Amino acid sequence: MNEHNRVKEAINAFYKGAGLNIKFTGQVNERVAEIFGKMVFATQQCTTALNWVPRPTGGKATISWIARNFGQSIIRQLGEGQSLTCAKSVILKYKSTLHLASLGV
Amino acid sequence: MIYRTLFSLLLMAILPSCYASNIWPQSQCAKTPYWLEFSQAALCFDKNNVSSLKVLNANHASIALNYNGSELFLLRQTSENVTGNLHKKAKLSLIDYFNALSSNNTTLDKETAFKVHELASAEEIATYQNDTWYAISMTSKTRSFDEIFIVSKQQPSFILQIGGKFTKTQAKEIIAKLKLPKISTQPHI
Repeated sequence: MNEHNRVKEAINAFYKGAGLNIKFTGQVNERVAEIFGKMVFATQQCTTALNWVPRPTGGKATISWIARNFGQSIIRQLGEGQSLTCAKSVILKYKSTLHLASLGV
Repeated sequence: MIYRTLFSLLLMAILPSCYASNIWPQSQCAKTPYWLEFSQAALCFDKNNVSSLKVLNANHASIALNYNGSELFLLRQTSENVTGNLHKKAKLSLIDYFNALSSNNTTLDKETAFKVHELASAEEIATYQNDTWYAISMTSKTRSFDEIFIVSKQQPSFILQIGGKFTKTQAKEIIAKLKLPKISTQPHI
């Protein structure tokens, strides 16, 4: 699976893990990776579920970093209860910026 | 029918781009106290209809309620997150950007803006305002979240986002159950 597909899979796993029936359908690019990284770090603030995720070198998530560190395991990590609520709130918070980035604009 | 359509088109061509918001919904809090306070705003939701409340640790204040059996999020937001900075790209204030979504304003790339905000038509938008506050709701059956954005006219960095699953009517009711802070623009000496 190439890196772009792995990023799509990671974002969709995050949505599914948060209990949302939505799919990422846009373009994967470095801006999308950066915003998804922000979403992961924001989730770390309100749940311990993704505490294992290390910060990327340089501070900004990249396509390669996401491809290396994420996959379907996110679904299991987010689990239920407060982790789910936390992840949903983060998706709500960043949804416009992620949509815009996915348009390649 | 044809003449009515032609007349409408003629009016649109002649009149300057304009937009009319609805007046702010009348408060529904006469009989219910404002018992829930969130980030300077207060809500008068019937306590019997709130079955849980979660305070979320985040950079900006966030809570999640179970209200009328449905999850509702309240967040303080940044204009950058709300529009992806599309409003700055169009050289519009946030409020003018929101108005442009359902007006004839051609400054804004509406096709992109509609995609960003999961809008299929301007029918999914409702706006309200009074002297000091502006609110916009975006609702439809196909969105990931139905949303309300509330922006202070005096301090545009004060943005409240409400997200969940609700109709346009329910969004209006939520706004009617809010008491928003008085924001002073004058220094007190």
